[in-house]
Amino acid sequence: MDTMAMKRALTRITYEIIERNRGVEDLVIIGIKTRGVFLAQRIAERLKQLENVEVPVGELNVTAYRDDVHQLDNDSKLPGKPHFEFSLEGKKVILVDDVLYTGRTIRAAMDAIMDIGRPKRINLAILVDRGHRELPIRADFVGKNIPTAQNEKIEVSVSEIDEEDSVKIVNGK
Amino acid sequence: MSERYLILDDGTVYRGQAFGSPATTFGEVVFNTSATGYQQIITNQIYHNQIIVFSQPSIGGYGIDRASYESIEPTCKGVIVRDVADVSTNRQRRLSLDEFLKIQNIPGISGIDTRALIHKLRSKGTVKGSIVDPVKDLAHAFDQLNAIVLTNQQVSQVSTPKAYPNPGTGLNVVVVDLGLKHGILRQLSQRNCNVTVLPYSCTAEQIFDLDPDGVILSTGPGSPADLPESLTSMISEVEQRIPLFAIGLGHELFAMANGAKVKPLQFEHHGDNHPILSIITDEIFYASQGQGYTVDRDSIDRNKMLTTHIDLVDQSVQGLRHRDFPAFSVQFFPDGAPGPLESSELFDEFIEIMTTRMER
Amino acid sequence: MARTKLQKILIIGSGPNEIGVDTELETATLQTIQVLHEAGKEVTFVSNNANSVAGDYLDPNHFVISDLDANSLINLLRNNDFDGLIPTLGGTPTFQLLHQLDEAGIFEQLNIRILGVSLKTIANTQNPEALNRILQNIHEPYIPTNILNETNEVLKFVRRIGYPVIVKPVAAISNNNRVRCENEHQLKQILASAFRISTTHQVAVEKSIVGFKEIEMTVIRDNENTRMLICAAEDFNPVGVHAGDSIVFTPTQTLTDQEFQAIRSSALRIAQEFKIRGICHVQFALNQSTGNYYVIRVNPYFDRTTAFAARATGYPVALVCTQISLGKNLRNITIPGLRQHDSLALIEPTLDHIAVRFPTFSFASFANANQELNTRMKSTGAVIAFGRSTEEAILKAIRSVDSTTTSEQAALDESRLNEGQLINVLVHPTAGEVFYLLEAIRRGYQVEELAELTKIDAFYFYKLIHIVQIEKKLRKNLFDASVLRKAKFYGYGDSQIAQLWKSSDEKVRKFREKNQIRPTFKGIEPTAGEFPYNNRSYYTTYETENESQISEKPKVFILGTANNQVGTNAAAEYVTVHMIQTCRDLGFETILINNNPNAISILPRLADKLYIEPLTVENCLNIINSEQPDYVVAQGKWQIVNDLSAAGVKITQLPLSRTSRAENVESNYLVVAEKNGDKQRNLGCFYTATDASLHFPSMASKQIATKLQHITQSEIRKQDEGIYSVMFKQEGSHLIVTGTIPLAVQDIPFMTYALNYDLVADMVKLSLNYSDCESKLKLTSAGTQLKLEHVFPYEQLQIPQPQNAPFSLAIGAKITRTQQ
Repeated sequence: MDTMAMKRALTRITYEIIERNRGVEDLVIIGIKTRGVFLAQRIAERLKQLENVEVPVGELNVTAYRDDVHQLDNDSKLPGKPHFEFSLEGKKVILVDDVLYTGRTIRAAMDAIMDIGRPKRINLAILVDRGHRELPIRADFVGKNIPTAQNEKIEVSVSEIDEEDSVKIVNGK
Repeated sequence: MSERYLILDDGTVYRGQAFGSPATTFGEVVFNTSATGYQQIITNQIYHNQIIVFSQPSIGGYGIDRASYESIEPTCKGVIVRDVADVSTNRQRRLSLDEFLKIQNIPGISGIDTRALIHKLRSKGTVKGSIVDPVKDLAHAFDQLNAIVLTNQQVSQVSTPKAYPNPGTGLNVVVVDLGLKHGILRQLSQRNCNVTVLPYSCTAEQIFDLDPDGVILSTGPGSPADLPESLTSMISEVEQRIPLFAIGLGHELFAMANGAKVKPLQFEHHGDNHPILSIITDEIFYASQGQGYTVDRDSIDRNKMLTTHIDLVDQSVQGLRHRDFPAFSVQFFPDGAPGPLESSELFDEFIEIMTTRMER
Repeated sequence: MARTKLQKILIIGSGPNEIGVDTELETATLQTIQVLHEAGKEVTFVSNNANSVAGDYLDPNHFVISDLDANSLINLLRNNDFDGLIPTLGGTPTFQLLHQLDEAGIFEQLNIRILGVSLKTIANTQNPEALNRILQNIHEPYIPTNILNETNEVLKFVRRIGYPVIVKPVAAISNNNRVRCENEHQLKQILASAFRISTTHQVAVEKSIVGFKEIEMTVIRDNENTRMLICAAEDFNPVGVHAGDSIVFTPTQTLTDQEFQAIRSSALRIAQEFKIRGICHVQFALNQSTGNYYVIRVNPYFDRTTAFAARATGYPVALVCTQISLGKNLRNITIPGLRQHDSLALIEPTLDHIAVRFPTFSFASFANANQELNTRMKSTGAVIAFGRSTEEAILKAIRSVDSTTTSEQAALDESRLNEGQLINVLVHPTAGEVFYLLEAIRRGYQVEELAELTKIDAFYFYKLIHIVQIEKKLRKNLFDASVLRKAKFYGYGDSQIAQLWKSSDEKVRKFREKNQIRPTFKGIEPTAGEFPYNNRSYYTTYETENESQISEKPKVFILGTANNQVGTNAAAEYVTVHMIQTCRDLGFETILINNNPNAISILPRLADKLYIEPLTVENCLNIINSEQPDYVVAQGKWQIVNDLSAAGVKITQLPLSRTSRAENVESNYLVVAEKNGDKQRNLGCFYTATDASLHFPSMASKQIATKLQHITQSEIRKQDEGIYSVMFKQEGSHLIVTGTIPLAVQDIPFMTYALNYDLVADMVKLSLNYSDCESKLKLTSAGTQLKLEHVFPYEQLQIPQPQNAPFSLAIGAKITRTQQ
C-alpha cells in the first residue's frame, strides 16, 4: 500500500462512517496509540472538510488494559485510566487502529473505554486487517484486507512520524 | 484546398479552407482548449451534433493514432481550426486527420481566426453554425441554418443498441452507455474488470439480473433533461443496492435522481486546465472536462448528498456522493483521454468500494 | 531551532553572462525582488555581473558586488543577519556553492533558511547517482548507468539495459571521448582499450539515448503539494544536441496525449518527491518507437527553459514562485492580467499560439571554432517567435536571425554546398541547421530520408516542405495577391518575399497594402482566449481580429536589441531597460519591440506595451502605423535603424557606440564627459590597464587629473551634444588623446555603477530635448576600487583565447571590488 492507496482507504472509510452513522452527530473518534492516533486525526480532518464539523479525537494508550502484558513489578510505569477532553456518554465511538491482528488490542481498548464512560455504540476502523484473530472481533471499516502468514509482520508507516505513508509486509525471522 | 465558409446564426461569415468531408454541416459551435489529444476530442460522443473549435492553433500533427479513439465512429458535426497539419506518417503508417474525417464524413474548415471566434463564443453563449460551400448568395445557407432544429435525442443516437461484453477476470461491472467514452472501458480493462455494456434504455431489473459488483453511468451528449424519466428511476433503484459511479452526463442524471436540478452552464467547460478541489482531502488537481450543463449547487439536498468536488474557476459542482449508499459521481472525466490522469484513481476508489463490499 | 521570522533575504546572482547564461536569471530575479519588496521584505542581491540591472531596484547597501566563491559568501553571511536565502536564481554554480557552504555548516550555524528548494534536494538532483536512486524508488525510468571493472560485468549489465550503450573510461590518461557501441562485438573491442587507458581500470557504461526526442516540462509546486504544469516544450533536435542549441517549440507538436500525460504525471510526481516549493524544470527523453520515456535531468531552479515557459505562456512564473517561497499557496495567489475568476493563478496555461525558441550563434566571429552541435552548448543567444501555425513561428524565427545576424551565424552558404557536404551537415547537426534542412528540401530530399538522416520528427519536415512549397509559389508568381495573402498567412515576411520576387521591401509593402493584406496583433496570454485578459504583450499575425488597444497618451516606441550577441551583449539589455525607465519617468507610454526570450526589458513592470516580434522594418512599421508614437528611440545605429530611416521613420538615436571602446587604441586613462547645449562637464575618470580591464577611480595623480580635466574639456567642445569617452595615453608627464568616441554600450553598466550616475537617462533626456532636467553627480564613497573585465566564450567554444581578445567578442563582463 503506497501513499495514494492509503489516502484512498482513509477517504473511503470516512465516507463509510458517514454512510453508516447517517452523518456525524454524536460521533467521537478514538485513535489507539501510536499510529492509530494519526489515522484518527486524518479521518477527523476529512470529516471536517466534508461536513464542516469538528469531530472530537481522543488518544488511547491501552497498555494497562492488555491481557498479554503482565505487571512485572510495581515500578513499571503503566499509564493509568485514560482521560478524554470530552464525555463518552451516549456517543458513537469510532475506534481507529492501524493493524487488526489477534484482536487483543481492541479488546483492551474497549475495556478502557467502558472504564470511563458508556458510549451508545463502538465501531472499529482499521487500516489493515491481517487476519489471525484470537478473539471474536471484527472491524466495521477496513482499509485493506492483507492475508498474512503468522511469521510475517505488517509495518505501517505514517508521514507524521515516519518518513512516508506506506504499508509493507515484512518477513519475520 | 478549396475554399469553404463557416457561417454563424448571428450572421457572421468566416472564410477558410476545406478539409475532411466536403458535406455541408450544421451544429452547435463549442470550443475546446485542450493542448493535446485532438483525436480523442473529435471522437468523443459528447460532441454529438456539435461543431468543435480547437483553440490549439494546429492539429493533426501525428495523424490518427490507433490507441486514441474514444469511439469508433465519431458523431461530431465538424472541426474548426486555424491550421491542420497534413501528416500521415509517424511511427506506424497512419491515416492523416484529413483522410480520417473524409472516411467519417465529418467536414473540417481550417484557416479560421479561431481566437476571434472563441472571443465571440465567449460573449454570445450558444451559437449555431454551419460549414458551407462558398456561394455568392449566402441567404439560402442562413435560412437553412436558422431553420434547422438540432435534435435533443442525442443519447439514443450514440448509445449502443445492444448489450455487449468487454471481458475481464476481475470484478463484474455494468456500464450504462449514454454515449460512452472508451477511456472508461480502458480504465476498467486496466483493472481487469469483467464489463458488460448496456444500452441507456436498460432497466434496473436487467442490471440486477447480471449481478454486478458495481455500476458505472457513462458520459454522454446533450441535456439530462431530455432523457426519459425511466433513467432516473433506474438510478434510484440501483444506487440502493449496488456501488455506483457516475461520470459526466451520468453524474448529472445521478444528481437529478437524488432531487438536484441541472441547469445549462453559462460558460461551458471544454478543456483540461481548470483546477478542481477534492473537498475531503483538500487537494487540487486538473482533469479533462466537457460539459454544457451543471448541477445547481443550491438544489442539492444536503441531507441526501455531499458535494465532493468543485471547480475553483467558477465554483461549480464537480462531484457528489450519496450519504447513505456507496454511490458517487463526478462531472469531469477521470479517465483523461485527452487530459491529466491525476483523478484516474477514482476508478481505484470504485474498485476498492466494490472489493470491500464483497469481502464483507 | 527554526527561525520563525523571514525578513532579511539574500539572493545569489548568476555571475557574468556567458554561453548558457543569458539574462534570463536576472529577469526572474527582478520579478522576485519586486514581490519580496511588496511583501515588505528586505532583499540583498549579491553578484559579480557587471551588467546586472538589479542595482536599479536596490539601494547600494543591498546590492553587493562580490566574487561568488565560498569564502566571500561566508563573509557576507557572517556579516549580515540574513533569515533566508534564495538559491534558485543563480543557476547551477549557485548549487555547487551552496553545497560547499552547507559542508562548512554555515546555514545551521547562522540559522539561515534556504527557500524554494532544500539542500537535500539540491544535492540529490545535482548528483546523477543520487538522482537515479531516487527515481528508481518512485518507479520513474532513468538512464541506467554503471561503473564497472570487468568485461563480463559490463556485458551482463548491457544485456540487461540493451544496446546501444555509451562507454567512457573512468579517470582516463588521455581526455578520451565517450564511445557509442551498437553491439557486443563493438563493445568488446572498445572495452579492451577503455580498461587500459583508465587509471582505475574502470569504465562508465550507460544506455545511449542519442536520437530520442527531448521534452522539457516546467512545473510549479506549492507548500501544500498542489502542482501544476506551466509549459511543455518539445525540442526539434533529438537528444545529442544540447537543449540550449536546439530549436524548441511549445505547445508540443508531435506528442500523442498518452505520451504527453505520462510525461506530465512523471514531472508532477518528481516535483512532489523532491518537495519543490516553487519552480522545477524536468527534462525527458522519449523513445518514439516504444513510447517509453526517461527522466534525464531535474532542475529545481530558474533557467532558460523556465524563462521560455514564462514568455511563451505569458504566465508570471517568477512572481508566483516567489509568493510560494514566502509561504503562500497557489489557491491564494492571484496573477495580474486575468480579469475574472479572482485572477486565479491555478488555471493551467493553455495556448492558442505556437512559440518557438531559436538559438543564435556567433561563429562568424569565431571562424575556427567547430560549428557542429553536440552536448556542449555553443549558441550565444536566442530569439523567441510566435505564430498561429508552426510554419509562421519557424519563418519568424528565421527572419529574426536573417535581419540582424546573418553573417554572425556564419552558416556556410547552403546553396553552394555539394551533395556530400550537405549530407554531412544533415547527419552532423551544425549551427544554422534549419537553413540546411530547407536547402535539402529544395533539392528534393524526401521526408522519410530526412527523418532517417537527422532523427528529427517527420512532422517538422512536412512543415518545412510546406514552407518551401510556398517559396516556390512565390518565385513563380511575382506580385500575385492571392499567393501573397497565403504567404503572409503562413508567416513569410515582406523582406523574405522581396528577395524571392527580386524586388524591394518597400515595393512588397506597397503592394501588400494596396491589396489590403494587413497585420493583426494578438495578445499573448495563458488561457487561449477562454477568459477575458488584460493583454500587455502582443505578436503579429495576418488574421481578422486585432486586439491591440491604442491609447491617446504621448508614447515612445523603443527598439530592443533582440538576441544576445557578442560585443554589445547583455549591456545592450541594460541600456534598453534604462531607456524604458527614463521614458516612463518622463511621462511617456512606453512601447517596446524585442524578441529575446531571456531579455530583462520584456518584464511586465517595465514597458507599458510589448511586441514580441522580429526586429524587422515590416514589424516596426506595422507597429508605428498602428501606435503612432511621438518618438522612435534606438540605442546607437545599426542595420535596422538605417533601414527604418530609409523607410522614412524619424528615429531618435542615443549617441552610443555599438562597437566597443576603441579596441586597439592603447590608452591609460578614459574620461567620461558630457556635452549638453553649450555646457560641458566631466563625469568621471577611469584607468585602463594593459590587460584591457577598466578601473575606477583612476588613481591618477592630482597633476595628471587636472590635465585630463582640461584636455577633455577642449576635446568635448568640438563634439556634438552627447556623452563621450575620451581616451588618453600617458607618456612620461605627457598626455596624448588617442580617441574621442561616443560612450560604448558595453561600458555603460559598469560606468553607471561606478559613477553612481544614470548615463542612459541623461542620454535619453538629451536626445528627447529634456536637457533642462540635468541630474547631479552623486559620487559614491571612496575607499574601494572597482574593476571591469570582459568575459569571452573561447573556452566554451574550445578554441584558444588570443592575447588581446577584442572586446567586440566579449559575451559578458565581470565586476570586482577591492579595497584600496
